[in-house]
Amino acid sequence: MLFFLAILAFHHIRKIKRVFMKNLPIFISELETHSFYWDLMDKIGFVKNPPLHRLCSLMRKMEAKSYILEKINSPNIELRNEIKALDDYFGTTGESDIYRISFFSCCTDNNTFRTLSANSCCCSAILIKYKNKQLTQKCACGKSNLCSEEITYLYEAYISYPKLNNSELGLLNNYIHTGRTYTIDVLNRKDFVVEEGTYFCQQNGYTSVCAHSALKMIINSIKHNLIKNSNKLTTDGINKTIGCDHKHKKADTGLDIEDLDKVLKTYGLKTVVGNFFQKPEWDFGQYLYCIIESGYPALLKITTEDEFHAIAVIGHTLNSDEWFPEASFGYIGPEVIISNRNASFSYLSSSRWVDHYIIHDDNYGMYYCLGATCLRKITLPKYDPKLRVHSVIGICPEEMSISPSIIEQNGAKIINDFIQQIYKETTAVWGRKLYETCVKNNHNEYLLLRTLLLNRENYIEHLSKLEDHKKQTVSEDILYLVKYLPEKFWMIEFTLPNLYTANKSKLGEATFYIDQDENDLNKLLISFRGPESFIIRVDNNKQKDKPFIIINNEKISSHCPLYRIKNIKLPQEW
Amino acid sequence: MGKEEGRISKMSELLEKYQRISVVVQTNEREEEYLKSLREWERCSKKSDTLLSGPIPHQ
Repeated sequence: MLFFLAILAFHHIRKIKRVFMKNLPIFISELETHSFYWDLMDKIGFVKNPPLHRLCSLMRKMEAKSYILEKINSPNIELRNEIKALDDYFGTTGESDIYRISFFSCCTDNNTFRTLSANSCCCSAILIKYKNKQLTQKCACGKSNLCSEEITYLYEAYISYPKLNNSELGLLNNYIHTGRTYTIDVLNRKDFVVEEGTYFCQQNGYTSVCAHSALKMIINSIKHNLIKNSNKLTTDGINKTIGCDHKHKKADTGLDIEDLDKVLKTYGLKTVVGNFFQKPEWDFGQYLYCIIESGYPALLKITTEDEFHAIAVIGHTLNSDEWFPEASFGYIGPEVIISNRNASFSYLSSSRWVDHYIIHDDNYGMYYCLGATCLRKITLPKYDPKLRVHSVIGICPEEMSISPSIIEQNGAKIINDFIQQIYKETTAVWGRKLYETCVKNNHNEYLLLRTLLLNRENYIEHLSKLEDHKKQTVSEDILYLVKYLPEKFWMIEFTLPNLYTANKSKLGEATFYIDQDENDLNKLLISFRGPESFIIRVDNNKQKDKPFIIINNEKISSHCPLYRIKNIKLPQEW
Repeated sequence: MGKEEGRISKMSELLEKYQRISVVVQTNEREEEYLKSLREWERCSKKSDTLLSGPIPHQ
């Protein structure tokens, strides 16, 4: 009897779901009144999906008021290719259901939808349910009798930066330097925009793995002005570029650095890699930070129980009240990357104030904060390989040959020597302060360096608006000379800890080539601007033994605001 | 005066106006060794990095 009742209940539920599916689209409002994730999963018949759960949780935190769920009956070519790839992989044609779920900052229903503000969309996601009998034969876990005949995954989502509903400000001290505005199609209304958001996607585990997802997330989120073409990167696009046809060459074996570079080349980008299994005592955060702060994303390759996993890093948080950077120097001496207590490299990197990296992990979801120290280990990788950073894979312009790690260390030495030579006899207050910091290098104060990749246009705009607290500005002669800088270069801003954390200001900056011979320190520097001084390399056949010109008595004599990335809304800052 | 000629003239004027200097960066043996190890590490990093996913090779 009980068995009979159970069968009846099962068929009744399936009937409700079939009726439900026929009645799509649906409009659900007042999301705050119930756990809509479980309700949603039940409606669409998805199995447990952490990224989708995270998406719903994020929408609740962002106070989204409603969502619309629709069935996509005429998928576009990208989605058709995704399904075809799975069919090719399994060797038979499967069945698929594709849904779009879109969240809004205000309530809506069938009557009010057409008049909704185009900016009210906080997120739009595509969900795929794919069914194929071969799934039980080829499941990755190997236990075919336990596997389902279907997979469900969050194919892609466009999500705005986390912030409260009706607020223009981002979260406190959260810096997401990558991101774009996306145009979204909901119920054939094609004018919705997700302003200032990023792209997230989940692997299906067969025709795409974590590396595909991570690569798509960073390319489809990076700002347009940093790449050569704005074509959307798809799984199909990646697989075609690396020669994967799902029959002779499968995607589920993973991607390597060469594959990444093949794909990135079409966007005018490439990888730069720091392997922290080879140098576990070095700081992956400093390497990662310089890339992120420049507006470029990065991949973090980490170890799990017994395999590698790639996650996309899109930003960072900052705690201006961090104790450790200065206290560690004060109590035990400079904590340099290796046990080299040479004064030239005893500086504070601004990366030390980063307390989290903002990541997208295709296994768990979007806009998570990875603690800056949680993957740092003092043990050797061969004895303790689990859950630690294997490598940082930075994404950078193709023409860059000097990486962040190299430039900050070399730059520290060059800046140190320049300050000691230029300000040795100075009477300028801040110049004297810089000199004493570099020469004495006592345990009270160290130079703080902030490294980022910059283009000339943004630097010129920054300098043209710069002024110190006495309202002095950069001279016309300097603004003229910096027009001769290369199109892209490394910039290292130098300052002192309290100026950085409390004033968000600097004492100056130096610029460096991105493609010169890194073995010769005397050829790396392009320009140096400090209190009352400016130096720039001139390309001139006369006086080759004196390659720089110096402008003394430059008007700016004090500290000025740090460089801020153009075109991003700054978050709340402390 | 053409644009290019104007540019050259302005640059010449600035070169005459301001002092030319040399600032030499000198490394001692220890500094040089450190920077060299950094460069070598990075050269090897990209060569040695393999799959982004998949099993961790036996160390």
